[in-house]
Amino acid sequence: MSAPISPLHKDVACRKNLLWGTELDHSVSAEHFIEALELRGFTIGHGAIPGLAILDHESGHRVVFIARTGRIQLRLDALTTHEQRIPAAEQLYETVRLAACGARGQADASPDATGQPCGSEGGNMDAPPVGE
Amino acid sequence: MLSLINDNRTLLEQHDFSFVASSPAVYHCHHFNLFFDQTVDDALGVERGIDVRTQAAYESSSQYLNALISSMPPTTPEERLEIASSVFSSMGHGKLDFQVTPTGGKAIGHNLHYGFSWREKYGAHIKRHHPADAFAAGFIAAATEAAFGLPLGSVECAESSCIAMNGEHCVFEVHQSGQTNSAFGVTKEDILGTIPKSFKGLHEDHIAKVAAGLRDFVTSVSGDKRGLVEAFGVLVTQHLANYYNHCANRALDIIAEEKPEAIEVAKELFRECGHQCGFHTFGGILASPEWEALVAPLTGDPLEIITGSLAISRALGFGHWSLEAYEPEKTLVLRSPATYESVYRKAAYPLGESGCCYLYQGAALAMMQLAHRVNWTEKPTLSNSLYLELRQGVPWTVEESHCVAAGNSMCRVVIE
Repeated sequence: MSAPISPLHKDVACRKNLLWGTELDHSVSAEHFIEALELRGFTIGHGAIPGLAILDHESGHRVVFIARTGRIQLRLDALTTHEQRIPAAEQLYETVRLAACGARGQADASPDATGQPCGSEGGNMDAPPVGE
Repeated sequence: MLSLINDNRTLLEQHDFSFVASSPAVYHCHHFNLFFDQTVDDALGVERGIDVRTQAAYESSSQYLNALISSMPPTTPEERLEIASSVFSSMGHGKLDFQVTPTGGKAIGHNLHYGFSWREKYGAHIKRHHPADAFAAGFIAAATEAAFGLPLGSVECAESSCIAMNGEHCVFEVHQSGQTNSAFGVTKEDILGTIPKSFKGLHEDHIAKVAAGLRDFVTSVSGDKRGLVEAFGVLVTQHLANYYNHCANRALDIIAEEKPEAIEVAKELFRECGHQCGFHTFGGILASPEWEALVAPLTGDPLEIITGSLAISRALGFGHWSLEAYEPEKTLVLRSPATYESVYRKAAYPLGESGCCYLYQGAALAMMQLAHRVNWTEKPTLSNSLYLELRQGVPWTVEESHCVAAGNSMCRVVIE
């Protein structure tokens, strides 16, 4: 089975290390993915474009998701220091990966693109909160 | 507070102008805002540049705030200061904590758009020696007068500490002033009296549809708890068109009077501001998830870039920018019944001899750059280094052949 999300990469960006990207695999339900993010402390945020979910976290980081194409943009809080941006992006990515695993059924233990099986190695659903 | 702004928002739909409490309202990102303010300072020198920018902010904000407050039931001075602070944050300019009386005081700024974004963009490489938040300074003076019902020009404000200069916060000192200030600004009513009839261009239906969807989105976005608006991968402000127009026109007036030999250079710098806007703002929006959801994933087709950029310009309140002609790699001709620059100029100045729409000119050039010199299939990072790389050897020139402020019936730019 394919990984629930593709490897982390820098997104088309204007600013230094603040925008990162990944894609949700077609096998994962978009609806369940959003629900899984909400379970991890994200809330549906501002804006009203049909098919676009902007999910805010109290850390200030955001996950922007387009159900139709599977594109996920990780939008780090603008106040994140330059030194913290890459670690923060990696941590946010891990949280999103776990949410995607959870959305796919949580029982899947096949390795994903990062080599981590869903549900193990910090892949439990109690992974460190975003922003810490 | 977004509701107060949106309750007072009106749209001149056929011209794609947006107004809040009768003040022309536009959206600009931090790349443009920083470059624009820097251009004023480069043209006039830092001290005078700050004076011009602060005065422009004071006048545009005074008109705006007084109109907003008068649209509400009677309020106390404290409530009016709270309204001003909330409006400022909703517009994406950061947070202001007012500690003022009718005779002065101070205000503390947190995460102010200009200071914060300057530090973010340039702070690691450049040491800044002067404060960055003239817009906030003018806004604070205007808010203090509006809150206490003071005559125009009763107080003045200057920034004494700024995060762009490594200050912990931005600090503003408010003092009584002996000056007699005005609060001039072009209003919706001024524009309605001078604006030419609108028209349609090529691909009109597509451009209009996308512009409407994008406009709905941007007007729904408000500052977060820090007073910042992050959208499309940039920091966005809702801003007062009068601020930009006061600054640009007064800077050019001063140059024309004192250093006429430098006037063309100054105009070129304001044109470059438009180029920055087109590259960073239009490019950022085109590459954003918001765009992908609203329109479609970007394919990189040059016509898609051109029509998309025109839709963006309309949604941001720049005017009814329309496509007259386009030949890939060679020619781009845009026309608009007016721009936010030309309606100001026409209302505030005698008819000129040449075009005054520098943002329009520069952004049109940037549209050709985005369409033909950016490889979108490689998902490029729209960085400053790419901007500078593309700025070298631009194969086109731009001319504003017609301008409402010069007596023509449209504003028209030709890239070839």
